[in-house]
Amino acid sequence: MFDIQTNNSLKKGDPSAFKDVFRLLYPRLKGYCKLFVPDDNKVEDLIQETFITLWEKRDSIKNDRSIESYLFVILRNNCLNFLRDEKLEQTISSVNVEEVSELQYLYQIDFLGKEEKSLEEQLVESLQVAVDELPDKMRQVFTLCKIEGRKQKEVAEEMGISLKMVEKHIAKAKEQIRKKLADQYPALIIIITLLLEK
Amino acid sequence: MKELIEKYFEGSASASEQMQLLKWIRKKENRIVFNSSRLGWNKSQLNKPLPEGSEQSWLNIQDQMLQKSFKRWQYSDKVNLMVRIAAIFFFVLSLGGGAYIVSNTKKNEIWYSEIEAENGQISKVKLPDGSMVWLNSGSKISYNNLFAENNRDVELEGEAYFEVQTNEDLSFVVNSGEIQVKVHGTKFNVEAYPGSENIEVVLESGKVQLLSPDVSSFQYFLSPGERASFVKSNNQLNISEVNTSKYTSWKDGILNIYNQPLVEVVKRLEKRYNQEFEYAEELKDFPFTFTIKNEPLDEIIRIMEKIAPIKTKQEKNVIVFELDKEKARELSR
Repeated sequence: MFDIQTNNSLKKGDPSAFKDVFRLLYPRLKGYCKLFVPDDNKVEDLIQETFITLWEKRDSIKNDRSIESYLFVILRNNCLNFLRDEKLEQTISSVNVEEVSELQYLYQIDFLGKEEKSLEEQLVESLQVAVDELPDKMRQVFTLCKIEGRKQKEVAEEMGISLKMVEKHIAKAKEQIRKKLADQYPALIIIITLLLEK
Repeated sequence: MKELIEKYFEGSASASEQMQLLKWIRKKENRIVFNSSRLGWNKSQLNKPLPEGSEQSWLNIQDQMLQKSFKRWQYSDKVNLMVRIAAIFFFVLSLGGGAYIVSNTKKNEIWYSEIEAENGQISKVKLPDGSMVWLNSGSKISYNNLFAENNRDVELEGEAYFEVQTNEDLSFVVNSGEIQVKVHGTKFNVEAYPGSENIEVVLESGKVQLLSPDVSSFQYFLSPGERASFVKSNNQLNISEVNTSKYTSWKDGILNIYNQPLVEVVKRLEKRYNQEFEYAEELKDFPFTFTIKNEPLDEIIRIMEKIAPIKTKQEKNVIVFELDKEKARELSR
């Protein structure tokens, strides 16, 4: 844990305190991020976003909350958003928890002081909730195409709507799922918007 | 174990070493040892240089923070949040500071600055060479740290209006995928949204040269008042004479819709007002002509309802255009 002084200096906007935090935590946060994100450039992006968010939200850090856990949670959400966006581009063939990266628990204990749900489980859960909340038709189309992996053309014929409409439903559904997850993590809205534009 | 913990803190522990540490740390009694080594390690790092490989990352963070703080300063200064929808935000970035630090410390490294106007905003940017750029909603430009030193190249996605500082020695080049615009000092507009079929360049004054990064033999000199429209699908270039203000007035907050189908109108409104729309398929090609200055969105929609047989309804966050059958019948009579 950082001492209270670092905590206070950071809140006051002291750049050298910020640099200390960066110096000490960069290697480990990178280690955590790499567990989920294979592309090194992307890892860098996510970590940079995380530190910038910390700096921007430094006023809202409570005294009893450690900077470590704060940073860690931001990074975890960033990774979650990244994986979600990747998932939405593929067929989500099984909404099952795939391989869980065991090493993440080491970082959880280090940063949060305890073991929590794995990122993979969180991802699946948040996707599931978001899909469930889609309007009927949109959910039907999205489930058939993206989860069951059916051809868009088939689905269009079956449901008696145009192929364009199917595409539109899917695009809208993705958008809505992203929005929904953005609402869950309002502090991260800026980052989510950035991700969406890519 | 102490060695292993330190390796982990430094980020150099292998996967199997991390696994070993995890097994160890899962025993509650070991946590106290871990926490105290962390405190010790934190102390030992004071005043040390940044960890290896993180320097660039730190510089990028600094640079982005600088950009954001400028942006925020501009926001708080001018903007009434209630009319944010209709307002246009201007911010001027000076990236010189960040670029200077890096070019001093790392001579050979190339890195990029990116500036973006989000939907609902128009941004005005001063580039390091003194040229001005107006970025239309949903557009971005980027340039590297050697900009104004050994190049004046910018990458553009979307639409921008340029007022380029004259510099005969260093030409200013706008890269927008299939078309490059090369200039010395002039005023012109480039529209190159990634999703759209055309790239359009309108020249207000001066002289620009159009080039293709792929076809070296291709070049065209555009004259003032001309509009070049490059069709991406068949590599065709069409030139026409236009009233340039129609294409450049957006930078002053004016949006000209001239005989454009609803699909196009919706695209522009979505960008400008950051509002999502849907429309009935049958209305897709219905043409509209109107000019927007700084009117709020609801007023524009009222006007659209007046000049066309449409009505709107709001579904959650989406505004839907529907055919107003009664009005359509009246019109057809």
